[in-house]
Amino acid sequence: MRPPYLWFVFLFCGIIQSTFAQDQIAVKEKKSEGFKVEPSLEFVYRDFQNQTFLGDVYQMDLGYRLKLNFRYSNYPGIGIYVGGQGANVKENRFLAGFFKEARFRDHGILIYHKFPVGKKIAIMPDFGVGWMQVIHGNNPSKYVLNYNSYSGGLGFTYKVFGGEPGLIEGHLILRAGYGGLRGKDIIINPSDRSYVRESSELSGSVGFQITLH
Amino acid sequence: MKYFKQDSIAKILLFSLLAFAMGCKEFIDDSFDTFTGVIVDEEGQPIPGLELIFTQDFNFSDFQNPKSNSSIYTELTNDLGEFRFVAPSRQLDNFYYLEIQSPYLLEIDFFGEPQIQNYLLINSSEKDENGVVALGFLKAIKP
Repeated sequence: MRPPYLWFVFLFCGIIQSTFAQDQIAVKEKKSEGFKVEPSLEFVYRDFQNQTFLGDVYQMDLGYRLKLNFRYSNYPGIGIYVGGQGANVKENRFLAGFFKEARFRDHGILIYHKFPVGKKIAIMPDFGVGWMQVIHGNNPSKYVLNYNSYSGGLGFTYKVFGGEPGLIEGHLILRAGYGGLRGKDIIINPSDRSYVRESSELSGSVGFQITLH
Repeated sequence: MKYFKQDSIAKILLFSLLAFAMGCKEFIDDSFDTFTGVIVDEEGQPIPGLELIFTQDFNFSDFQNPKSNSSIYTELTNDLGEFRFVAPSRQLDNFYYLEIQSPYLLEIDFFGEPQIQNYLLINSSEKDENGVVALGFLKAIKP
């Protein structure tokens, strides 16, 4: 037989817990609503398809990608990105030995969505279109090849800090992606055309994303 | 009015400098030149496996026997005697030399007269819309 005052203690604890839970839900709802800005910096490794000009000619270094994503509440978001990567030019039969190094510059737009799968982890698929420039040399001996790109990827984010209302959240990002590249404006003989104009890429990146509510 | 004039002059100078810088650009972006041809013998049969040197660095100090100092590409003709050399398109300085290796020499049409030499001067001024300079059949002879 429990003492009667214990029933009051249980009741009080129940009320407190219920109130706290409702507060938590309210905070969660409040946090999930509204406009969010999610800038990120990723270090990127990409590997172009073998048996294509991009895959056979360039030895890629580690690159970077800066993203600025925007989303409202839990709807899919939109982002813009810029990236850069250096490369060594391997022996080839197209660039006539004029260049030893190249710089890859890309920029584009993407759509993405964030699916939470736990308190800290979320899956973030994305799809984007963009433009990539392969820049050899410097002015006045600069030579540029332009490619259009489309890409898709699957990212995982892990929250390392933040989560209270009004605070910044920090997330680690791990992403793998696949993309296609088309240099439709490149003028070259018909025999080498598809080899030079078309390629695909696999990419992997690690980085850090900040969510601003 | 005075300010307007100075501003206009500055703009004209800036645009002139930009135009000059663009005009000085050495390479044409998004463009490759391709030089193709077939090496044939005196009977018109293709010569496979013949070594060709594609270069811009040619030494004429020995006028009777000029030689390349260095090579952009050194390749063999294929089974059909064909060759294909590709290079980024250049605004200027788009001349190359095609050197043929001994014991062959090329028979070149020099203003209607046949001339025997171990090289051919080629340039990309007569390329088609694909950037291809088709050199056609080049006759190689053994002197």
